[in-house]
Amino acid sequence: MRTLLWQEAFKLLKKKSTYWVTIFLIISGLGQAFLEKLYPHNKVLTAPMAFSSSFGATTWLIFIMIAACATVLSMEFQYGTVKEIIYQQYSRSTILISKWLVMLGYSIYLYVMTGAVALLGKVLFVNDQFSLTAIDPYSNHLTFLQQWLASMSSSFMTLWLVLSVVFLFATLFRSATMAVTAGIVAFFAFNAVSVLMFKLITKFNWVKWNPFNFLNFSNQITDPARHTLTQLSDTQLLIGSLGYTALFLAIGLFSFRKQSV
Amino acid sequence: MNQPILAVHQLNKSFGAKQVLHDISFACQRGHVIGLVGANGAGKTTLMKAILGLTTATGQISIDGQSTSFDHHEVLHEVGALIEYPSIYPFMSGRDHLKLFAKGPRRHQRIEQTIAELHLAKYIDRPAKGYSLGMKQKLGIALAILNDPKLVILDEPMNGLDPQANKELRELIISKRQAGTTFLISSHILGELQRIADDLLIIDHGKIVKQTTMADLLAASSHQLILSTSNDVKARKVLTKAGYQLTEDPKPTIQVGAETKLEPILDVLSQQQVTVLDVQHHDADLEDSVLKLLDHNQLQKEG
Repeated sequence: MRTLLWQEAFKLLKKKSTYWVTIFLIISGLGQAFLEKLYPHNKVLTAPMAFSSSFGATTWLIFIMIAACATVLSMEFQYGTVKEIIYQQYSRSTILISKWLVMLGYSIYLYVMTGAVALLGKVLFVNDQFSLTAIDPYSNHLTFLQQWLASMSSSFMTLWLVLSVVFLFATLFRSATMAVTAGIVAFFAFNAVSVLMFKLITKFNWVKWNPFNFLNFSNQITDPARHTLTQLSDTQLLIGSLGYTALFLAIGLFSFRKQSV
Repeated sequence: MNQPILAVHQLNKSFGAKQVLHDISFACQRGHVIGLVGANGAGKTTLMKAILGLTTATGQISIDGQSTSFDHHEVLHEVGALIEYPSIYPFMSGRDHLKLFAKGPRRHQRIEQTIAELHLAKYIDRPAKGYSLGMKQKLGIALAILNDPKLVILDEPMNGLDPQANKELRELIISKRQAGTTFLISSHILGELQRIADDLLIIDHGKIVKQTTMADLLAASSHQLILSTSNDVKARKVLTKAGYQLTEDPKPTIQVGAETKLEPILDVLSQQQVTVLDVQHHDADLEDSVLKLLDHNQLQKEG
């Protein structure tokens, strides 16, 4: 397993995109913080709101991680390198789990890095606009710092629910395009169909257990009023997100274990 | 240590209703080069993939005495392989590929040694996406031998190699064989295979139709004496009358055994005033032997 983790990390670090992503996220985060400094009185996106999403980084991270997870497996099929990996002594399960773990590490790195950039941007450009220890009036009486941390951790959970679907499609279809599409649809089309879903939930209560509803976890953390729509508590959303993530990953693993190449 | 490095017993494989491997059984002795020969679609690559746990199959496979299968193949750390085409990450250099797959102690020395053995130094630090087919092929072979495996499985390793690279590969295989490495090689370039293989597995429509040594196969194949005489027409008549078996060639061409003596042939012709100007020996090569064997197998099936 250690060798496989090392191999996966080696490949990730050899991709130029890995470095460009870091540079892009730093520029984007600091750039948005700078814009908040230039337009301190805008009401559309106030500095505390922008900070709560690490100056826009959490949305970028979803795109970046969908692309990274879709290609980490499908590239092996595309380049034929999956053969080189499988005819090492390791089992297919270990191979796939090592890919998950490296992507988990990568996503944690990106969250920590963008978090650090957000703190830097706050200190450099919008330090005079709000205090991290002040209470956010729109949240559950949390400070801006607590609100930011809660938002980051809940969006991380939601991200991994989406990524489990991406991994599942990458395994089933061996295609990055299919996996990316699945990820984008799972996350963004959800917003389009959520109104319909909430209507259905009011009619049929059991619909609240469908996996799309659990994508509301991070939204509900930042906007507690959403509870009336999801009909689920924060804890239920957390456990459900973890459960569905594990389920989708497990189906992908089961499928990969049976695949001939 | 007489245990074979690779033993395959009653291996069967089907794709849906189509059976592609039928009761394949064979063993590979240590330090031998085994040529796997057969037409396109005969099942060579599928057989290699089954050995490497890349595809499912029923039957038993053991490597170095340990059983291996699709699900459990820990023993494959003793095996290096190149299957179908070299697998290359375009965003990495050749050296990165070697670093990625090198395992165990003395990794750095083995990487340098492999680069030297396959003469890769000129381009090993360049991005692999710019490699020609031959360069990729050599990198694929380098990856197969990198970790000093006991068994190396190569599927059409001469693909895309120029004559010089072919010669270097042949010399490398011979030197590794002398050091105890076993090679299972499939190739359509039978001339090359004839020069390096000790044993042969001939596969046709998913069945092994012949398992033999190269020496035995060539010894059992036909030898011909091609005569140039002062009167070829008369020579043919004389030799036929004397009981020799001639081919249809207009030149008097006699089918003979491996140990045939020339003197009686010359005598019978000189008695009839036919002068022999030149005698050429022609031994069937691996290509002739394999084609004949596959033809024979086809005829048997049709019959």
